[in-house]
Amino acid sequence: MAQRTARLPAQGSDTRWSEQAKRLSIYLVLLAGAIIVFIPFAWTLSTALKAPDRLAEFPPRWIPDPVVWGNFPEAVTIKPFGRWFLNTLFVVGVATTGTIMSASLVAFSFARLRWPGRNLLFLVLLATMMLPDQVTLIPTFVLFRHLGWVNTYLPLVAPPFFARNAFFVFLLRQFFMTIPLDLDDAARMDGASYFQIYLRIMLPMSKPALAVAAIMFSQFKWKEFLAPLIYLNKQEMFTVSLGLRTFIGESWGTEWHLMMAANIIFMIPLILIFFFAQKYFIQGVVITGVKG
Amino acid sequence: MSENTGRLSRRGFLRATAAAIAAPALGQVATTVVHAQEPVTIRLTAWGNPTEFTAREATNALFEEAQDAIKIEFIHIPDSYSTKLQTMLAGGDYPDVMYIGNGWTVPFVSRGQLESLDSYIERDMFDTTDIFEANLKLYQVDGVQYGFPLDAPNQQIFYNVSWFEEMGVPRPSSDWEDESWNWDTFLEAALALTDRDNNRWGFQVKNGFRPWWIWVTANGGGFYNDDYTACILNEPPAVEAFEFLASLIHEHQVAPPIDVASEMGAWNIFEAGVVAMDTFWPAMGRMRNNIGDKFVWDVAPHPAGAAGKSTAGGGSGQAISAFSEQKDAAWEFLKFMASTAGVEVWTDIMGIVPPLQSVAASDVFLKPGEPPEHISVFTDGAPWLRPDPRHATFAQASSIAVSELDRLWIGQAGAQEVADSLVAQINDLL
Amino acid sequence: MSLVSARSGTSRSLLRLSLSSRQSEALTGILMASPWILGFLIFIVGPMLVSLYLSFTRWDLFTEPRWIGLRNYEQLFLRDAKFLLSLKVTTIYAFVSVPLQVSLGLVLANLLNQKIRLLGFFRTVYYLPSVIGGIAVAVMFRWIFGTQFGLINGMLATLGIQGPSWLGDPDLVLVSFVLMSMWGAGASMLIYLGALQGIPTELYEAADVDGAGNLARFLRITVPMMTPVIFFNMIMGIITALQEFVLPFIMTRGGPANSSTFLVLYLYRNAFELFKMGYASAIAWIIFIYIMVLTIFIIRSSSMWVYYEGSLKGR
Repeated sequence: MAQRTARLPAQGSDTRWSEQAKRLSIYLVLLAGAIIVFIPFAWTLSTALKAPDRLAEFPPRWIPDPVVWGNFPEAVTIKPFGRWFLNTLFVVGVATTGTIMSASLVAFSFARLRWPGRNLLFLVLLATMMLPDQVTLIPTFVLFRHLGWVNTYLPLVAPPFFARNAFFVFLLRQFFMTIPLDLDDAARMDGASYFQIYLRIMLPMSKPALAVAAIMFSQFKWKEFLAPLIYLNKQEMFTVSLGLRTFIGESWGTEWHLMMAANIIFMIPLILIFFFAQKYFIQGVVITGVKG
Repeated sequence: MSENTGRLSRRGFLRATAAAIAAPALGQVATTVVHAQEPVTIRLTAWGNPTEFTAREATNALFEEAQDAIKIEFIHIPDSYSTKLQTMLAGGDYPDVMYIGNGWTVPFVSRGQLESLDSYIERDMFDTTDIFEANLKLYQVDGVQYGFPLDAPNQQIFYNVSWFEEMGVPRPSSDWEDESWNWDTFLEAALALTDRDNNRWGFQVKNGFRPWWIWVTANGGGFYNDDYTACILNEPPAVEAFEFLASLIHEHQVAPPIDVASEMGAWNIFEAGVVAMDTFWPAMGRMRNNIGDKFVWDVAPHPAGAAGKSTAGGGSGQAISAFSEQKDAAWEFLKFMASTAGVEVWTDIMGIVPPLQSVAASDVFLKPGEPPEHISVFTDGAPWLRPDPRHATFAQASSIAVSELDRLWIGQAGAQEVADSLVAQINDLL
Repeated sequence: MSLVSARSGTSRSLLRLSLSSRQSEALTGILMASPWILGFLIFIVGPMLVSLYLSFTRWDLFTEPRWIGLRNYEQLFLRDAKFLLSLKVTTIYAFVSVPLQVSLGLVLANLLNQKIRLLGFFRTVYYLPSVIGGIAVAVMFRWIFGTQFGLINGMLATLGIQGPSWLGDPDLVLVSFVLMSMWGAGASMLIYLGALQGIPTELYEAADVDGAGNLARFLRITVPMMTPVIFFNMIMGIITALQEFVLPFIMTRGGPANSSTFLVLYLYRNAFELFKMGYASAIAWIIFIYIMVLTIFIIRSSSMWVYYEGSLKGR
């Protein structure tokens, strides 16, 4: 007995040491990876702070000389940037709401309910992502024109309410299918309808998945270019991603320093959304699970 | 910042004076032609970076101030212009006035998209003789006029004068007749200017069509034969030109590898002082802003080849949609943009070569005291202009040629081999 | 909820169950899927069918399309060397980049699902590339891979090595694109992270009791439980990679010598630069069928390796 108690602490410190080493190696790997991942971003920042005649230097210079902070205000005052920003917030907000509502409902149906034609329609759903947009652009434009939707935000915000982005239906379906069926069965026994199961069990259980979908969709919508390009005519109605393209001069050459500065400003909301939304899945493995 | 406001106020002043000049004449025409009491609105599609956007706003405002019968709804397409414009046209959503590249004239006319301007020109006895003829012709098909140019951008060599002086290299002649500036003296200059260890290069070879088209035509080469039954880029004059350009990269190493231009944009590389000479179309507003007083720069023709000197060019213009419901109003706007008032504002803000000979001879374009010193090289070169070949297959053919020539520029194949291969592919189209 | 009402609710639903539980489930299912079904009928099916029709025509966008039967397809497969090259190039890119991205994302997600300091910071950094995305990434990498002013070659130069022409060499350009796609693995990492939250902790506790090591835990619990999401990332990866457009369009314009002319770039050129929309539509439908065949193959094989906790199979 005495021997055993004497040995135990020693064993404990041994595990603690290997635990520490493991932890350190994880940090090192993560740090190295983070540096690699961060380099292009840092380069963007560096470029955004350069004078136009200092863009082409060899070897590349990380810290610009001079540092031109003025590129940032110049990038955003050159156009109605504030207006574009608000437009984008509106479009992204409405469309994300629409997608999360419709995609989760449809995904629930595909994941949890049996109905005739379901598997075939699921393949059709996937198929809608397989045809390049470029060839459906004109017929779709004709359609929206007949609906009188050109030069309005409707082509950007209405389709999300119809789960237009199959990606998110597919994503949520996959998540829902990892949730054990016992929960549904128990709820059915209690007399819950399918809609109640969706609302009271599936959605609360899928918060991490819904957060992932919301982050990814809002980011997709924030960056969306083709639909705003085709459907928005008035400059006051532009979204940021469309307006930013003004800097890319095909024949004039691009003002890289301004474009990069504008791009950084463009990214900040996305980074903030991500940083704050990740609290829904930040806990790590320890406290999650299906403890009903 | 103060420089910026100075520029704006000068524009504002110019806008106001131009409006004062244009108002009486234009107002008269507009009210007699457009009978509607309510102002009509015409829709204008145009691309534009910030500079071009400013120029558009200025000319649109000037047009609206000059008369009250017509308003402009400006559809600004910041990028992917052809995708959006073609979607609109194919979808039946027709703008009244379109900003188009000159290369679109033939495909658009052959597909019935552009309104002939001849009857309008005749009706209003509109005088087109002030427009540079070569540029006016770019918007004609079978002698029928379909649009007016907004610029006359022939491509010349831009060079870094300070660099030439520093290395003691004589400056290229700006006289089109002077053939002492030829391929040999060009190569000598490029060799003397290049300092590879410090990443300074004499010239920049680019893989676009016009940058090599100038050399091919200067050497007496052509693209198609006379009856458009074969491509002749594999004949000796063209092949020699390709060989010469490739030797600048590989043999003489006076030009950086071909992909350098696409890394930063050729403009930025010249502005940063990495290449001493480069082929550009004249967006001098940009050059003046970005180079400032960092170095002195000037322009000169390309060196003379076996067949003398040459330049390529094209530019953009405006046309009326064949399906516009406001053609008379659209015509008024086209006329205004081809008038001295419109062209002056456009030239001043954009820093381009104006399509009107009178404006090209005025200080609005010449800007005495500002670079480039020999700005008249652009307009003097009009007789040496070798326009892009005009044939239904040209868009596809030139894209085949450009991508095949990649193999030459990167040193994977010889000039004759590449030329034979691209000619075979192009002949398949004919 | 009172006991009585709860009981009556149960009996009512039991009654309905006994009457037509199958039908009621089917009806609810269709009803819940109806937003998508409606959206598909309104927004998607029409344009898709139009493009299918156009693929059998010659259409220059402006004049009436002319029916030419299978001629576009014949031309593409029998006479268009550029198309066949683009098919090959795109396939290589997809088949190399997708597995790499899928596995890298999985490893990253696991590293970032531990209790460590600065977790939020690391996750954000790894996710940053997906935030930037699209055209800005393409532009940035054009410099990073630049021969002369590029970052990589700049670093190599300080070591006295002359770097290659990453984007200018036909043999290297795909390698560069694959490297770039790896940089964007943060997006799939995010999806894995979401899925990792759903793995019941009990499974790991049980494994701990069994004395399983880290690798064993990862291979025997994490990977199987993640298969639905791996399945998702594979299918989406294939769909996206075979339709890659922005990278070649911005970075290389398809060059040098067409070595990075991806399928959709080639399609785009035909549609909007050469006014050959019928031909472009045929390319699009070939891409469609190609992706469809691969997807069906993955779905068919999925019963062998995808494990669904909530599967309806056998019910």
